[in-house]
Amino acid sequence: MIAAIPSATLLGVQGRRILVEVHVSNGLPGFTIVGLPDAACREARDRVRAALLSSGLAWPMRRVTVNLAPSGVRKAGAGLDLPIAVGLLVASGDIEPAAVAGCGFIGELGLDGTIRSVSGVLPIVASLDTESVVVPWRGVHEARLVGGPTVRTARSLGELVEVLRGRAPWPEIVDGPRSPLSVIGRAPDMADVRGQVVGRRAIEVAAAGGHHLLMSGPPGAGKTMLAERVPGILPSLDRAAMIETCRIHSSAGLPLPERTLAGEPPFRAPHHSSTAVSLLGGGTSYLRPGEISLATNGVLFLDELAEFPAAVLDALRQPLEEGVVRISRARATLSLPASFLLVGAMNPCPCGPGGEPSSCQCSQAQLDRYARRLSGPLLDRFDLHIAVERLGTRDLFGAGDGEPSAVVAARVATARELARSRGVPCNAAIPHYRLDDLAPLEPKAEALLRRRVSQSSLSARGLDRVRRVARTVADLQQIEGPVPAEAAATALELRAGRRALLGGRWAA
Amino acid sequence: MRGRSGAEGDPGHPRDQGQLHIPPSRTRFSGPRREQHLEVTPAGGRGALPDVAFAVALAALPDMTPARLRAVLDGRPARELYAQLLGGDRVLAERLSALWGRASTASDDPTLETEQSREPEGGSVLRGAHERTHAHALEVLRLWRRQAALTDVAQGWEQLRARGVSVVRRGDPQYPVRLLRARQVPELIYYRGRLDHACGPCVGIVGTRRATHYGLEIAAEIGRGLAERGVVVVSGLARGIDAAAHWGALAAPATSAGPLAVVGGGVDVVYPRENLRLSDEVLLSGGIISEAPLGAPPESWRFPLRNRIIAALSQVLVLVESSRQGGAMHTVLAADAYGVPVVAVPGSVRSPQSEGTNAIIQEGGAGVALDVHDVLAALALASEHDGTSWPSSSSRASGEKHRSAGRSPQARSGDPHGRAARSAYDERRLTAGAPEAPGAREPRLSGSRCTATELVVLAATDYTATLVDVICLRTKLDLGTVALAIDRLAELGLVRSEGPAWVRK
Repeated sequence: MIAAIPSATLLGVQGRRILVEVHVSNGLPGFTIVGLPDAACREARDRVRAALLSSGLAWPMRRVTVNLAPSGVRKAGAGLDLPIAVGLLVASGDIEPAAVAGCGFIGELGLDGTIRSVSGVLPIVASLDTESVVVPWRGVHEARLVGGPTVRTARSLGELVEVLRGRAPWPEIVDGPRSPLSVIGRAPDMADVRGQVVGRRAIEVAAAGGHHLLMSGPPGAGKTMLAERVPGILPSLDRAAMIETCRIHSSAGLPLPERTLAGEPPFRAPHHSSTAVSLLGGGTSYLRPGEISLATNGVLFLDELAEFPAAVLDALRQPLEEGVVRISRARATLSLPASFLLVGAMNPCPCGPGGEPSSCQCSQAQLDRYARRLSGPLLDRFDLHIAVERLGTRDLFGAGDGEPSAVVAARVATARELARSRGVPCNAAIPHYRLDDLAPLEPKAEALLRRRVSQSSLSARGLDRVRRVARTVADLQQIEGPVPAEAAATALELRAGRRALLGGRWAA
Repeated sequence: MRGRSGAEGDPGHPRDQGQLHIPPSRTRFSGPRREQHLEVTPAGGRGALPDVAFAVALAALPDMTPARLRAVLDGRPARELYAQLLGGDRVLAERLSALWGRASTASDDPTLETEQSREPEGGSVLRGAHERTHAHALEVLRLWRRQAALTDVAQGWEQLRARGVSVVRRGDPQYPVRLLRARQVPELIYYRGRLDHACGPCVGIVGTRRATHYGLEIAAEIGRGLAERGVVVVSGLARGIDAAAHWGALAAPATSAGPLAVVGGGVDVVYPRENLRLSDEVLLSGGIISEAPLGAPPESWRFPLRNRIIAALSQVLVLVESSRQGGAMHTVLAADAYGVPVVAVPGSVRSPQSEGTNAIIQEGGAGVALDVHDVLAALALASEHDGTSWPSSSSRASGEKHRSAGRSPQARSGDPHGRAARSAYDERRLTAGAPEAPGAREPRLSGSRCTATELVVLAATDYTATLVDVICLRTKLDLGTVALAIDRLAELGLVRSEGPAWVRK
């Protein structure tokens, strides 16, 4: 007798449909799995046998062949345990085929028959086209996010079999604790940021135009504080974006971030000891998404940017440009989403500067070396480059509380809407040949930028970037026409950090 | 440097013609040999020493101040006085107590206050005060007498000459004639380098030691512009404006007038030490002079006295930057007292360094000097006033640019008929077409070219690196407005970027 159970495995951040075919025939008792299973998958045999026996079910003393179709693709992971077990029961006549018709199964089996969760339930369920799907107890929320097949679950194989035999109803699914943002607490608020006029404006412009931001400044100046507030002013994720982000988290085997479920863009801050693989994604057995993919639709914050290995940083260049990271391994090539807002932070010099600003004791050679740690092409990806300083007490206390995030977020949303109405996802993505069309300059602004170029304090590439940023600055003020001179000057000032770094000189 | 010492008899040295004066230094080489100097008898071998050598010895006595020296010398030959001192003559005590009696009456010359404050309470007010001052004078004289008995006048004189220092006494032909208008005429002037040019066209440039970039630049520009036209720049060799003015004068071509530095301590004492190189450079083409004896430390009471010398030597005094209470204001008051016209360079109303200059302009105490041409115009008027011939034909040749004809130079000069002003104006008009020396005119602060916002932003920018954040917080202006203003200020050359921050120039 033969049974075919639909299921799926994970490749990267996508589910891939697998048909689990189980054939039970007379012959020498045996259990064979064919169809390129990997080690974990091949061991399913022993887990399934133990689970059946522990659940009080009979192990057929016949010849059992399991085929994972399509046979030519390597299958990884233990998520196929449950479909193999169910297929076996159907093929051996313990369960009526009608009971499993139109139902997909996902789950790993414990030796005692429990159904355990696997990573990537969300993308796996999303890839299925069955009417219903049985997922592990813990994967119910992810599976229900997809909104496709009817989601069912059972805690153990025994319970499942009882249901499928019609002796018990499906266990009721209790909706898990899905707290609203008000309960989880939103991201830190902009109102806490005092003083930092340039810093505040920079993250607002970064959020509104999708411009990558680099902040340099001494420890304690507030770089991390500013970076953490970027997700709070980015527009809330729409459902598709939220599911995409959740799918990536699910694929990486991470719990779904509660704030992201509530629509807040993700914020990832990997440590500077991260390897290229952990940042970009990949790995040997199955291709796990890296930090840059986890930050998709959100913020990737690289603190101590200059401490990252140069090779790792330069590997960021392609994803920054294309919004996806293409990973090629011997077994597969795939594209992982990687469209994120990069926020970098670094000290102005290797020494910190330890005490007060301008107390830096680094030699010129040290400073030059430090500045060279970021390659020119990588630096060029940052449209915004600001210096963040600890403000003097007098200037700090003169400044009242800043605008709260909600107000800033509203402006950012309006600016993004303006950009979309021009046919670009965000201003950072305006192509060079459309700049004159989408970001025309007022005569005064043009004169200002022309002068900077002629003084060679602005390169041709830099000019394009300044024009895009200036467009965003104007959009934030809801100026739809040509970019005024104030916006151009602001855009230049939001790149002032470059003067320090490229001059190889830092003065507080 | 020593080679330039005028009194050494440098043959190329321009000396007052027609005067059969034998410089004191001549006697040094033709004079008696060393063993004769060692004689202690008052009359003997000292005959070969110049009289001024005895004045120098008197000036070097402990607790001797310029005022006391003036009082005891009383215009008489120093040799005679020296003998009187050694002989215990009572007349000196009378002169001293008379000085102290005068000291209690206020002087209109503020530069002398510090010196007077060093004298004991005067006698006319309090009963018995005269007796007290007389007793004190006797005491001081006893101290001097003891010291004078131990002093070898000839040796001191030789040491002085060996250091390349020369001395002129009031009444000597080389004594700078303009010094005579000082309220308390300096009895002795020590100098290194040359002194002759102190009789030519002289302009004093004074200002604060804590100057801004702006002040330093202007001082240097004016200094250079004056030196190029053959005008001696007189200043105090101090930090800040003084040094900038000297450096500016030294930056002029080699044929220009060398600067004249009036120092507070001895001419062999360089203060502050950072100006060591500057003082060497000054000696190459100009001179360093002082009223203080050799090796006198730069004590604070000496500086106001130094300032009165600067004021007296100058035909025009330029005040570049000064706070209200700055030492440069003393110089201005002294110049006022001596009838020396003062011009001041205006500055930002927010800059504490320009408070004094702006105030004195506002009060009408000084004309406005926007660049060297204004100073030259004032100098032309002043020269015509006191009869010295300036501009000379050579300085006329250097092209000057005609500027605003609407300003009225005679208003600042006190020339009631404006005759001199007209001639100066005509001259400028005649040479209007002449090409200007490259770099002679730098861009400078001009209020009319800045909008009100730009000026506010400029004011919020420190003379040290200032982040745009800070400027925004101080001005309460929007980032865009500040960014635009700062860009324009940078274009005008009023601020410059320093790393990510901005600095006011």
